[in-house]
Amino acid sequence: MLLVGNPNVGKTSLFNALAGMRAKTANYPGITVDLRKAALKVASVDNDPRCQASTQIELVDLPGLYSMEPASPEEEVAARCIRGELSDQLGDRPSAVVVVVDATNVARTLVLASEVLEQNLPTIVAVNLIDAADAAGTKIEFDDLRRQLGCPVIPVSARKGRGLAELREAIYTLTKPAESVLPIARQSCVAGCTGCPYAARYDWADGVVKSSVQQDPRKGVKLEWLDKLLTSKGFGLIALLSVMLAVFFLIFSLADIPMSAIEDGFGWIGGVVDDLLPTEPLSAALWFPIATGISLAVFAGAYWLNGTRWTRVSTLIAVVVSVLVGCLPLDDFRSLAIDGVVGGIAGVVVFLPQICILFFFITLLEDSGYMARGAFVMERIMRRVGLPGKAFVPMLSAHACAIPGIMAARTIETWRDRLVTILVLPLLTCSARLPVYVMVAALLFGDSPWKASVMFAAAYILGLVAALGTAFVLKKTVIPGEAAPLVLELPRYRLPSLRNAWFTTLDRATVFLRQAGTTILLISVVLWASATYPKLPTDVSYPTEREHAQAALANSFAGKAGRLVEPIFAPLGFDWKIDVGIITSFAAREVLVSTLSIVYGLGEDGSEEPLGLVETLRRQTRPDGSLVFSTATGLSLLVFFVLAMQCLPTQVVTKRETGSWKWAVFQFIYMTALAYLTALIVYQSLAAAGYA
Amino acid sequence: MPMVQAPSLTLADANAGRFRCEQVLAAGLDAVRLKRLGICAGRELELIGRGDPMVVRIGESRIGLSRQLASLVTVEIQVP
Ligand SMILES: Nc1nc2c(ncn2[C@@H]2O[C@H](COP(=O)(O)OP(=O)(O)OP(=O)(O)O)[C@@H](O)[C@H]2O)c(=O)[nH]1
Ligand SMILES: [Mg+2]
Repeated sequence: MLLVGNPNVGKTSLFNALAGMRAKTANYPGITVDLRKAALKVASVDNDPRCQASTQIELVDLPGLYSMEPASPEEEVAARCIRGELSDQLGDRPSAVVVVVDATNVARTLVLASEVLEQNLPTIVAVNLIDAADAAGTKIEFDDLRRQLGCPVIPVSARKGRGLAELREAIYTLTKPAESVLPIARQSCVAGCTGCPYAARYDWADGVVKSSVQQDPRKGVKLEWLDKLLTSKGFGLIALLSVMLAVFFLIFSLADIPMSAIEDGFGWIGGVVDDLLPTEPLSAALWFPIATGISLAVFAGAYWLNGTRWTRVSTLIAVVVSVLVGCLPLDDFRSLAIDGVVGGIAGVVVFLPQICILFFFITLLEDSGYMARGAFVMERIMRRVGLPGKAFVPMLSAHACAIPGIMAARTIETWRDRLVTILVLPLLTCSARLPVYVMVAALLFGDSPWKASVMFAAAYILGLVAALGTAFVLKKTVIPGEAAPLVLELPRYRLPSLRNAWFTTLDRATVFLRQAGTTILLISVVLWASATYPKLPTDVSYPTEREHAQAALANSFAGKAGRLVEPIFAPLGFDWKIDVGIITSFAAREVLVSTLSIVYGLGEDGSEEPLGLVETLRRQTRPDGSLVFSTATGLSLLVFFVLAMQCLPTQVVTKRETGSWKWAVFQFIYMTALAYLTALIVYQSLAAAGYA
Repeated sequence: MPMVQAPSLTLADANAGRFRCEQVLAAGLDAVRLKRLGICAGRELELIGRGDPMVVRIGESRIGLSRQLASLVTVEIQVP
C-alpha cells in the first residue's frame, strides 16, 4: 500500500497520523527522501460485529513527486515504486495506492492522480488539508469527484485527525481479498492536445475541479502582500537576514541560562562522586566488586542508549574493561570517574540547549512555509558561486549539524548541485564547533564581551565565506557547470505546528545525547587512559608535585603521540598538548575541550584549589616562559577549527549520500589542507606583528 | 510579400499580468520540471513578481522561476 502525492501535500503527516509515527514533516517541498514503512492495522468500521475483521497492511510513505516523469533521484524511486519496479525493496507491484491531494490546490495535485489512476491499480484519493480548505472558504463536492475519478475519494485532515477512520475503512475495503476494484483507463491525450500530455491532464483536472469545487471569494486569509514583500529583491533579502540574525540572537540569549545550569549540574555531580568515593583505600576484596560493578553499570547504560546488543564480543569488552577498572588503585579510579567520565561528558552536553533552540526555530520556519521564500531570495546570490537557491535550507541546518544538512541536500534535484552542496556544507559552523569558539573567546577576550561577540561573528562569517568560495572554486575546477535554474513551488503559508517543532527538537536532542553517552564517553575514557599510562617509574623524584604531573603526562601514550606530531603543528603555534587535542578531535570536534581539560587538568594535579578550564589554560607557559595561549595561537586554533574536517559521522554520511568514499576523502583532504594553510597564515602574520 | 513573424514575447521580458502560454522551448529535464508544474502550452498563468527569479501563479499554486527558464517560455498577453 503506497502513499503517493505531490510534494508538500501532507503525505508524511497522513502516514504519521495513520500509523502513529513521528516522521519528519515540514511545509517545504521534498522533505521525505526515504521510503518509510509501517504496519497499519485496518478494520472495517461497520456496526456489524462480523465485519470487524482486521488485517495488517504495509503502508509506505513515498517521497513526493509531481508526475510519473521523474526529475530527481527521489522522484525516480517513487515513480518506480508505483510501477512496481522496485520489487527487491517492496515485493511486487503495490497492492493499492492512496493518492494524497491538496484540498487547497485540487487542480494541480489531481494531475498526478490522473497519472496514477492510469496505472490500473486499486486507488483511493485522499483529499488532505480539508481544514485549511474550509478555513479558506473552499467547498468540495465529493460525490461529484468520486463520479469523475471513478474511485473512492475521502476528505481527511492529517493535522486535525479528521476522516482517518473513513480512510482506514476505505483501505480495508480496497485491499480485502476477492474484490477487485475496476480502475478506469483514461486516454492520456484528449482532443486538442498539442503534443504536451501535461496540458491535457491539466485541462482534465481543471474540468473536474470546475464542477466539484466551489470557492467562496470572500473567505480565507490573503497573504499576497506579505509574499510580495518577502520575495522582493531588496526587502526580501533584508527580511531574510533579519530572520537569521534574530534566530541566532535568540540562541545565544536563551541558551545562556540552561547552559550554566548544566555546567553547575555536572560540577555538582563531580563533587558528589568525589565525596562518595572513600578517601582511604579499602581492602581489595571489598573494593574490586564495587568498582567492577559500577563500570559494568556504566557499560550497560551506554549499550542501552546506543542500542548495542550484548553479543559475545560486546560482553567480552564490557567484562574485560570492568575487571581492569576494578584493579585500578583508588586514586586512578577517582581520576577516571571525575576527569574522564563526568568531565568528558559535561564538556559536550553543555551545548545541548543551543542545538535544541536552533532546531526548534528551524522547524517552525520550515513549517510556516517561509523557507521556500528564503531559497527563492538566496537563488540570486548563490547562483553566482554555482550553488542553487535550494542549497539555502541545507546550509541553514548545517549551522546546527552538518549531518541533517547533508540529508536536507536531497531536496536539491540535480546531482551536480547536490554534490557541490554536500561538499561545502561541513565548512559552516556547526554546534560542535561552538565549545571551541566559546573556549577561545573566553581565553582571549574574557574581559570584553563586545570583542568576544565580534570574534564569534567573524568565525561564522569565515565558515560561510569559505563555503561559498569553495563552491566557486569547485565550479571552476572539479565540478564544472552551472547550478540548475530554479523552479520551486512556494507553498502557502501555514501556521506552524508547535507540537511538530517540539517533537523534532526532542528527536534531535535524543540523537545528540546518545552520541554524548556513547561515542564521546568512549573517547573520553580512552583518552584518559592514554594520558595516564604508562606511569612514571617511582624511583625518580621531582621537586614539585606539578613538575611530576607534567612529566607523567609527557611520558604517557597521549604525550608521546602529541610530541610525535609537534613539528607538523609547531608552525601554527600549537604545543604538543594542543596537538593531543587536535588528534582526538578528528573523531569529533567538541572533544577538543574535554581533551584539553583532561590533558591540562592532569598536568595541574596537586594545585591547591581546582581552577576553571579557562584559567588553567591561561596560566600555561612554554618551556621558555612565554604564554601558550597567546592571541596568535588562540586565533590560529580558532581558524583551524572553523575550517578543518573533524567529524567522522559526517564523513560516513557524505559517503552514503554521494555513493563513494572518493568524495568523502576529497572533502577531508581539501578541508584539512585549507584549515592548515589558513591557520599557518594567521599565526605567522600575527606572530610577525608581535602578538605571539 | 514576406510574412513578418512578430517576435514572440517570452516570460522573461513580460511585465506583470495575465498570459497564455504559447510554447515551452526548454529541453530535457528542464522541460519536464516546467510542464509538470503546469507551465505548458495553452495554460494560463499570471506573472506576479518580476525579477530573477520571478514569481508566477498558475491556478492555486505559486512558483518561483529563474529568469533563464522563463526566457524559454513564450507567452501571449491575455486580455481579461
Ligand atoms: N492545516 C493542515 N496542515 C497540514 C495537514 N496535513 C499536513 N499539513 C502540513 O503540511 C505540511 C506538509 O506536510 P508533509 O507531511 O511534510 O508533506 P509531504 O507530502 O510528506 O511532503 P514531502 O515529503 O515534501 O513530499 C506540514 O507543514 C504539515 O504540518 C492538514 O490536514 N491540515
Ligand atoms: Mg513527506
